[in-house]
Amino acid sequence: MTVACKPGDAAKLPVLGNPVTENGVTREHTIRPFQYLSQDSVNINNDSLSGGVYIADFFFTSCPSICPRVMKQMLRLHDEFKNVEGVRLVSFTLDPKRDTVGKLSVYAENIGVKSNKWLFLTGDKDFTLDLADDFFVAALEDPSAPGGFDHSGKIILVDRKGRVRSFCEGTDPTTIPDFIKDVYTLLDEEKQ
Amino acid sequence: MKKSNKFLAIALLCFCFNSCDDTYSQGKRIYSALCANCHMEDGSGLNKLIPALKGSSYLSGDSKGLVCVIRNGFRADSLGLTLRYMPAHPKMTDVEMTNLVNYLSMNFGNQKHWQLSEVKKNLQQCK
Repeated sequence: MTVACKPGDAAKLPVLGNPVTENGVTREHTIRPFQYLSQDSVNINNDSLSGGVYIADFFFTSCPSICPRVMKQMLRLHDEFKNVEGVRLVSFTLDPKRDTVGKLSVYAENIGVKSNKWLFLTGDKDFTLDLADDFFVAALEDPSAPGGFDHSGKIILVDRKGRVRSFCEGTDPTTIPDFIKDVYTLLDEEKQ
Repeated sequence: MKKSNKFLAIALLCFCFNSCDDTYSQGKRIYSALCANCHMEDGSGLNKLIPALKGSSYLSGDSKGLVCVIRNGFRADSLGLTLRYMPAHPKMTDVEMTNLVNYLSMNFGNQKHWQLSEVKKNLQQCK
């Protein structure tokens, strides 16, 4: 989606989410600190990603419903930005019990990802379900849902400060072109 | 031709066209509901993870094994990984199967026209 901006501020995306006030100090909504293992068994945390912007989604490899459609659009974004510095893709698994490092490695290879441009991360399940909230993604464990988890297919854009700046629907390919424009807009903003 | 006969002929023609159209539209609906989440609406799949339907060996030549792989699914990975997995569809009726494989053949494959009797015979030979 392209987010409407104020006149004269056309090159900037808004910061999404409500500001939080703690101990009298108000700060913008940011992604909480996290630590995960990637498909290459490398520790990844917020600092690992602070060198640029990243595009995130939530999935699990045995998901029989929306995940392949969302992954198709993530692959489209990967192909768009594979040679662009300062952009990475991050897919968090909701099912770490089944999605081990080894399995994520095979999954990445089968999708055709050979570099660390696109990270597939596994970590604590309950933490990940809470973390999804920070990205405005609905995710919950539900034995009656296909594959055992219910989740939305949103794809989220996060800036180097960990703030959510845009999103699109991974199940709707028509929302991707505007999202790509938003990524370039954010890259321009971060150069300033 | 009498007026009533003309009407009957037109009605019969409409029925035939509707029936033919229905064959592929049901196949398309089944494909959208059961197959497109993984193989995508355009049959393009997802690289090595989910095979594309265009060019698939299941949709070329005599399409040997097509109805069996839809009916029984498969789990190709001996390591127990759920990658390259396809679910079984034991509840799909023979007529639904016929409509689905005709839709697949016409859109992504060898244009083979499946008869219900042939689908039934193939299903009986599934291991």
